[in-house]
Amino acid sequence: VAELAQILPGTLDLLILKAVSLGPLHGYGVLLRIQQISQGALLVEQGALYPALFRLVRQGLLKANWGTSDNNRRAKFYELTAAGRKRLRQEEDGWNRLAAAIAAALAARPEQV
Amino acid sequence: MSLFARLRLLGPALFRHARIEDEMDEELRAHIRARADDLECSGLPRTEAERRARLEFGGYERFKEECRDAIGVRLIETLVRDLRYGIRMLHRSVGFTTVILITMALGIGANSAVFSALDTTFWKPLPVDRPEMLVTFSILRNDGAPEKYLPAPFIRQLRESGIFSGIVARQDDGLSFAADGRAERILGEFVSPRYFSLLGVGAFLGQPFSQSVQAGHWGPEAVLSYGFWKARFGGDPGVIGRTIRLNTYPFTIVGVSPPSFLGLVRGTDYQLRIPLLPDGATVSQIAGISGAQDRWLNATARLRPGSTRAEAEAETDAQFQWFLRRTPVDEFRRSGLRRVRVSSAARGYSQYVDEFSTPLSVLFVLAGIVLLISCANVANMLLARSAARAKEIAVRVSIGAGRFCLLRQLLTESLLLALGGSAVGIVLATFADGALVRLLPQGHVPLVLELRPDGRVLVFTIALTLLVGLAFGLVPALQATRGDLIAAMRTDSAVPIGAGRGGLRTALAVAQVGFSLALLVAAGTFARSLSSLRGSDFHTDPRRVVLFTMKPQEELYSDQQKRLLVQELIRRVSALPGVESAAFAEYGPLGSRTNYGTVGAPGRDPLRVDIDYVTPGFFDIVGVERLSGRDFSAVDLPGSPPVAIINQSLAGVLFGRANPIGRVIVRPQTSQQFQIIGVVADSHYYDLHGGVDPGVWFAILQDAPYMPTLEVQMKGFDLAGTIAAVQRQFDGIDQGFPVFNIKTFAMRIEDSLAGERMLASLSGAFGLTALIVAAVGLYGVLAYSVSRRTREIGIRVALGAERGDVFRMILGQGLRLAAIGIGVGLLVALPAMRVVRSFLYGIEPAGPLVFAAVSVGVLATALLSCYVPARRAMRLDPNVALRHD
Repeated sequence: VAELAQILPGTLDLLILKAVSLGPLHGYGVLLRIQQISQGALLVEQGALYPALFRLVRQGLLKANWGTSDNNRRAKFYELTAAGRKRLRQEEDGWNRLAAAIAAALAARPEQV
Repeated sequence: MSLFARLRLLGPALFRHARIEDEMDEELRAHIRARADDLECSGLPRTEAERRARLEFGGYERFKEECRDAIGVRLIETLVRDLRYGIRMLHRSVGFTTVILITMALGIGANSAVFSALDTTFWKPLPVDRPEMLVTFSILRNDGAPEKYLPAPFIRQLRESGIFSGIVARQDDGLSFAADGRAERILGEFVSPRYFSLLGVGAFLGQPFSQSVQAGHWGPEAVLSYGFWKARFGGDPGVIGRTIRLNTYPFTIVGVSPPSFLGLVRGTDYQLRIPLLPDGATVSQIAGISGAQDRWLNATARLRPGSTRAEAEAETDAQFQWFLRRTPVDEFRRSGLRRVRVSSAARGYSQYVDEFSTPLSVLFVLAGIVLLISCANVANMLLARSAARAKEIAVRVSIGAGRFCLLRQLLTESLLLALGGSAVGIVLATFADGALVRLLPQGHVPLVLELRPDGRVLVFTIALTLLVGLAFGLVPALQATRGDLIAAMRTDSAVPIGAGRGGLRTALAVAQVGFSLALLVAAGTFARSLSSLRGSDFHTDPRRVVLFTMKPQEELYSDQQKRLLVQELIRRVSALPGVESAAFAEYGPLGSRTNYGTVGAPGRDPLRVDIDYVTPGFFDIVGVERLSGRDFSAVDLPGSPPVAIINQSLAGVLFGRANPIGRVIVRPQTSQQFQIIGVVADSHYYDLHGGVDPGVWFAILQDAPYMPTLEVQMKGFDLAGTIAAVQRQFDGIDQGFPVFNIKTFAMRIEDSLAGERMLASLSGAFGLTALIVAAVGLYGVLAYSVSRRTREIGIRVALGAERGDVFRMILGQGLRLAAIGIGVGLLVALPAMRVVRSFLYGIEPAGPLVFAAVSVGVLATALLSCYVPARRAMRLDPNVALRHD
């Protein structure tokens, strides 16, 4: 079994936004998409997905519509709003800066100090 | 997200509640099904796949709850649930809830009542159009109080200057009003013709002065007040167009003002309004409406839109300086007028009610203390209950209730209690306000206050309720949720009172006893001051002296006719079977009209004295003892040498120990000399408060009566019969002048002490309320302590303690608390009363008698409230007590 990384608090929203940005998804689809794009390395608590989705809808970053899923079942589909798209860009930038900074910090060697 | 946006989402969220709930379920279930499908595809049997899918999903209900939170449905749902639970909890202990509701109702009711009185009397803006734009004027002097009236020519100049969008002048006076039968005394207001349009007040009926009067063409028109129209004409709409006579001059009723409008002067309701005359014109019957150039009037102006009070003041003062320079008469400059100040008139004028400001403020503070005591008591009861509920709370915590959730629940309960209490309190306040109005004195200017709960009182009460609900709920709620779970789950009855949580409760009970003692000391002091003011210098039975004020019109009665009228009335009334004797005084003692002036003696500086004009026999009727010389008599008439009677104080000041009889006093204004014919005992003639003023009495028949008072001494106590008989004599002579303000001397004395009576009776009521609440509090603490110590007491009894010992132990415990409370109360009351006395005129120091009586009373009450729990402890059966958990 591959080792799974517990996602950092606050990053679930970012992952959801990213997942949905690639195309409208229903809840379970979001979960699959996250696993897919993270190459199965991230552990997402399945139930926790929904409060996050509802919150993002309430914040106006996602919009939800009922539609039909691949296997002809009624399902609620989420897609990004304009505000969601903007937020995703900001969060991505922020995350990349943070990741770069932390990577640089961790790469420090004694002779650099 | 803004609050507004949240609220906007909340509405539909609530509306679509059920649908959202369904959809949420559907979505979550779809997820699990889809996961199960995938797992099945990977080769698991269907049942195992479904089990795994559910397991992977995690706590279904928990996530649903979090989803609800995320949407915002939760808020309302929680509130409703908390409320429902709260009501159920309160309903379960009816006795507990009732006591808290009553306690809260008393505390909040007292505050709403006093707030309502203060608001109606002083604070509420006038019910006119944009009252905040109204201003009034005062002229600052070089020394002395500012002049509140403006010279009429200056008002005209201001009007022409265009600084204000309008200025109205007003003036008031008593009038003889006749529609049919005997003339009545009413209070009329004389106003600029555009008075109503400036205030933006329309007519309830008819019109507020006709167009032509408003345009400046004077006409004899009258606008009745709503109250007078109801009382005098029974609300008959046919009064419009009727002719009435005011001081015999015919006027036409053109309108009735709206019920909410009581004029600009707070505390009174002018029965009618008539227009002031234009400059230069006069009507001999009604001096008050004259347009004479030298009159002074009270003026109210409306600021122009956009202009500020400071700007208006600068411009007005510039006008005034110009007026002073331009006016040929330098009378104004000589009287030291300096500059004009413009102040807000949004709240009107309060000269008739100013005397109630201090007593009402003191009562507000006292009511606040009552509320504090109530809160302490309720907090105490909630503490007791949260201790009793410790186990319930511990169970709820252990199955996952958060502390915040519990706090919210407990606070909802305390707010529920506060709201319930304040609902009852508002009803109580309505009654209290009725009683408050009846305590107000009615003099020759009737006092009218419309005390009824309105929106402002409601807002005050609700704000107070929320504050109070939080105040008394927070501490017990924090206490309850802080507790050590394990300790709470374990039953323990060995905690003695005074330990841990009990300490706060004990402190609260002690504070209640202390504060109610302080309140009672205040009440006792006020009551004592009142009774010592009542014990008057008038050595007569004041219930057997009736006073009638009358106003013979100048234009009908010459001075000589008025003298004859007075003599004829004395002759006729004295002859009535129920009447002992009768006399006249221009003002009479302790009335709402008073008179001061200056007199001197040759070679002596004049001094300020009480002055009245009386007929023979007056002193004997009102019980002012004649010490030497003679009374006025039938020979003291206009032609004979002017005479005067003085009191001891004046004799002492002017003549020292020498005999004043036969000496002469001088009135400096007229240089007229009077020979002293008698000396009477000192009395608080016009005012029961403070010291005795020097006083002088002249013969009314050597001067002329203006608005004299007939004093009638009755043989018995048939007040109604005597009044009727005397009024028949008035009617027999002439129906053309009003007779009014008919009351006994005793009523006059009471009216002059209205402020003190209000303070004494209300603070007494507050004090008793506080005492009852404190007694309940003390009882609660003890009963609680007994129930906690049940097992301990059982052991004591089982080990051989006498029942009497147990009884004494509990009683002693309670009385110790009471004693500490009394001690604290005395420590608070002593300095507090010194503060109260410093701004309440004429209050005596709280004597040791008051302190002792109140302490004994509080102790006795404490004894009573300790008795029941002590007896219960004594009667405990050790067999039962030991099994008690």
